[in-house]
Order: sequence, then structure tokens, then C-alpha cells
Amino acid sequence: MNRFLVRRVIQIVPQLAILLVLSFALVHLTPGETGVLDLESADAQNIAALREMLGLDRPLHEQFADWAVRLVRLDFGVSFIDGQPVMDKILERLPPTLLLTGTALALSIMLAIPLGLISALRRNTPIDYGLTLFAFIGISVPAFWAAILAIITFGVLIPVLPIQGMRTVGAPVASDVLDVAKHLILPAGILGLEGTAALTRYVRSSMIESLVEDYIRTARSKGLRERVIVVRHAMKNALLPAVTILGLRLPMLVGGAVLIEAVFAWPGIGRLGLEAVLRRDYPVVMGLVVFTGVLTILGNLLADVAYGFLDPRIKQEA
Amino acid sequence: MTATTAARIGSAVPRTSDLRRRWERFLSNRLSVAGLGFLVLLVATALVGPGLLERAFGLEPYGLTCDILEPPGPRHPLGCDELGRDVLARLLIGGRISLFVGILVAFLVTVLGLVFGAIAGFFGGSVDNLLMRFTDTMLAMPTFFIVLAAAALLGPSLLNTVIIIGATHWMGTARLIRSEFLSLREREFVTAARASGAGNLRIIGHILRNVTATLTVAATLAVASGVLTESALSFLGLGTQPPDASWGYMLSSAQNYIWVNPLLGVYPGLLVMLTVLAVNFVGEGIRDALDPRLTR
Repeated sequence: MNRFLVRRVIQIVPQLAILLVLSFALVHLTPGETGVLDLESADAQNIAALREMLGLDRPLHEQFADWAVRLVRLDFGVSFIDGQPVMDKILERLPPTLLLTGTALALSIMLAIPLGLISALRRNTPIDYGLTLFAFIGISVPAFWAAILAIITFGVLIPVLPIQGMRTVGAPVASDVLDVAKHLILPAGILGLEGTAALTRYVRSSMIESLVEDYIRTARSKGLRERVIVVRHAMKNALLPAVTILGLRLPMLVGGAVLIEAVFAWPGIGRLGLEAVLRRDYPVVMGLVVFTGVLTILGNLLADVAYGFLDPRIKQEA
Repeated sequence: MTATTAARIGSAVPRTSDLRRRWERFLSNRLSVAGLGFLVLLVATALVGPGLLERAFGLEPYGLTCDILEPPGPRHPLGCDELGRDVLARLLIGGRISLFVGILVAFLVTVLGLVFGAIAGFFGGSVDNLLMRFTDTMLAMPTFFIVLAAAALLGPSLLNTVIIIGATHWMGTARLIRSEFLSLREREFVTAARASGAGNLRIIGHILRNVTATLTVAATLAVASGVLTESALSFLGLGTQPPDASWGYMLSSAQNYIWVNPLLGVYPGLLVMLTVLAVNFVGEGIRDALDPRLTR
């Protein structure tokens, strides 16, 4: 176990290095890099002064080393637009994003496991076909269009739910929790359904795989009740691969859902990123890529380690 | 006798019948056939539809031919947008761009995925390790956000859209191809080829012929993600630029007028959904037809 753990932890070092190089290259090697300085009013002298102030006049490798060293001290620099530290901006937007994506993820897990299970147990019946069609539609619908449809339905046709932001402006603090919950329904619901569609398919196929295993036949021949076989023997093994899938959903959890946050004006990480991109606020863009990338790499590590604990075979391979 | 029978059987089963069997298997999947029908119709209307509409009914996608937000009527079946342009004509032109981007993205994704996957899977060892670490890291990046950043930095254009989406969506294909190569290179035909003196390139060619099923399915599904991502990018104003019509861009402008005409926010999204759904169904059908073993 320890050897597996050590190997897996060492693996994240090159991953982090590649992440840093990629996010630096993304901003500094693209031709639009000087875009921030091409103000018409600026004369050559001002531009030179500004470049020096921002450190853009130094060689790339020096800039990179400097940037990387500051990252280690959790200093992500300051925003070009308002001079606020990037870290503060990210941390300010993190709670709304975690609330939104966490709720959505919980919703998709709670829906996908029973739905995938039913689909697998009632394989090739109308129920299975119906759920399969639902899954296909779910992965084919652009999330932002589903969001617009929801706004048309619940905001325009039957106006029962708030469709913008996270809180009602000027609402009393006492009703805050309820107010936020109401605002959460549409964005989290749509994000959750989108995730459910893909996850249902994974649960279904790994359940089908697990139902034909030898130990299931053994359990049957022992005369165990079907319920015990399905829940205790098949499902326990079928849900293992789903742990990895959860790891793959992690970028969304921390990166926010840019489109959903944009449509519903949700004040999270995704919208911060979109705003930064549109205003070419490079420190915020780079900060966000690194921040979400690091969290995702760590999340995958966690998922793998959890997998190693749950499935003893993994340890032996390592 | 056995030799001649074998020869006769060998010649009696030409490639065409193999193809026909696969085609019949594809046809037996009704959803895939429906998807293929829809795509054929879509390609046809995208190619000739706009010209036809303009000649026959004077409906043009860029001209201001009607009142602002004119409701649907006999002259404009789906009404007009916020500038007074015919919505139907714009939807057809938008389909052209969506499909174009989708197909080019699929091409790029397939080439990148194939190169990375084949090299990693064939050579294995440290080459594999290096390439797969890179692939994993790319997978750990916040993809859509990077697509946005790159689109803003490079400047939005059709070509940039294709390049950016392709460069951020090849990892799944690469991993698929790699795992196929890893298992195929241990097979007898590779040993046989090597024994008869074939070089690496030739052997890779032999293995390639055995991954066409996987590759075709992956390429089809890449069209779907290309169409979806392009619409999202254009929705945020970083993809197709006005006056070009694209479904995503139409949705973002419709968003401001859903109070006046909610249907404006329905058509473009419906088309994106149907296109992606059709592509996914076709992909599923091809998977079944080419390699029944892959079916779950």
C-alpha cells in the first residue's frame, strides 16, 4: 500500500510542472499578449513604463521563474483591472461555486445510482430504453440552452422561481437561507440533471458487468435472496469505477460551470473567469487555471488513493 | 480438397459482403438510422437550403427583410430577430457553420489522438509514461475555461475556434487508441509481421487497420463535442462573430428578447440538441456495426 501511495504522490510532481508551464504558455506565448497595452492614447514611453512595472520587459524564463516562486507562496499576483489580490478574488467566489456544483453533484449521485441500477436490472425493457433515451438527451442538450428554457418556463411563462443571481436584492437577512435555496433550484437542478445523464450510463454498464461475474453466480447458487445479491454483492463492486468518474467531474466542481453561472448570473468562479477572460485580466486568468488545475490534480490523487483502499487488487499491481 | 475449399470460401467472401453485413447491422438500429437521416437532411439543407430560400422566397440570412422581432407569419415562417432578419434563413446558415466546425474539430481530434495514442501505446515504457502524464495533466485542466481564455487571447475566428476546441479535446481519443495499441501489439499478427522483417512503421500500419472501429466511433463522437463546444463558445461571444449566424450566437441574442418572443430562444438550441443527439446515435450505430464486442 505504501509503495502504491508513494508512487502515486510522486506522479503529481511532473503533473504540477506541466500545469504551470501550460498555463504560463497559454497567456505569454499567444500573439494577443500585448493586447492589454495597445491603448491608443498611450505613447511609447508610457507603454515602456507600464511594461517595466508589470515585468513584461524581462525575458520569459525569468518571468516564469518569478511567477512560479510566488505561486509556491500562494501569491497569485494582483488583478490588472482593480488591483485586488487574485487569491482574494478567487476565495470570495469559491463558496457560491461550491454550493452550486456541490448541490448539483449530490443531486446527480442520488439520481444516477438508482436509475443506473434499474436500467441494468431491467435491461432491454421499456424502462431501460426510456432511461437510455433520457441519458442520450441529457448529454446532447447544451446546458446553457436548458438554462434558457428553464428561464422561459419558470421565469416568463409561469414566474414562480428567481432566475438571476444568488440572493434577492434588499431581502431581509432573516430569510437568507430560504432565499438562496430558491435561487439555487434552477441552476443546480440543470447542472445536476446534466451530470445524472452521463453518470447513469456508467453505473448501468459497470452494474451489468458486475452482474455476470462468478461471485454473483456463487451467491445465486448459495440461494441468497436477489436483493442481497444485488445490493451487497453486485452494487458494491459496480460502484467502484464510479469513484473514478467522480474524480473526472472534479474540474467542474471547483472550476465552476461557466455557462450556467453566466446565464443565471451566479456569482461564482466560472463567472469570475468569464469576466477576466473578456477583460483580458491575465493574472486572474492564470490564477484560475492554476488554482482549479491544482485542485483537480489533488482530487484525482484522492480518488485514486480511495480506489486503492476500496479495491485491494490495485495495491498488488503497483 | 481443403485447400481449394478454403480458397473458394476465401474468394466467395469478398470485402463488399462484409461491408453489406455491417451496413445491415447498422440499419437494424432504428435510432441510428433516424440519426443518420436527420444528419443527411441537415447537411442537404445547410448546403442548398439558404440559396433555395433566397431564390424562391426572398428570405436571406443577412439582409434586413422584415420588422424588428416580427412575429411568425406567412412571409417569415419563424419570424424575425432583433435586427429584422429572417430567423429560418439564419438557422440554416447557422447549421452550415456548426457542421463545418464539428467536422473539422473531429478531424483534428482524431489526428492528435491517433498520433499521441499510437506512439504511446506502440513504444510503451518511458515514451508511454511521458505522453500519458502529459495527457492526464491536460485532462486535469479546466478545459472549457482554457478554451475561453485561448479564444479571447487568439481572437475569435472560425479557424481559431476549430484549433482551440481540437487542441483541448483529443485526450480521450488518445487514451482509447493507446489502450488498443497496448493490447494489439502483443498479438500474433504483430509477431508474425516482425518475424517476416517488417519495420515499426509497417507494423503500426497493420495495427492501425485493427483500430478503425474505435477510431471511427471516437471521430463521430468528436463531431458532437465540436458542435456543442462551438455553440457554447459562440453563445459567450467568443466563437463565431457577427454578422455570421451560428446557433450559439443566435441563442445569446435571443436571451434578451425571450420576454417578447420566447420561441427565439428555442429553435437554435433545439437544432443543436437534435444534431448532437443524431451524431451520438450514429456513433452508437457505427460502434455496433463495426465491432459488436464493444456493445454493452
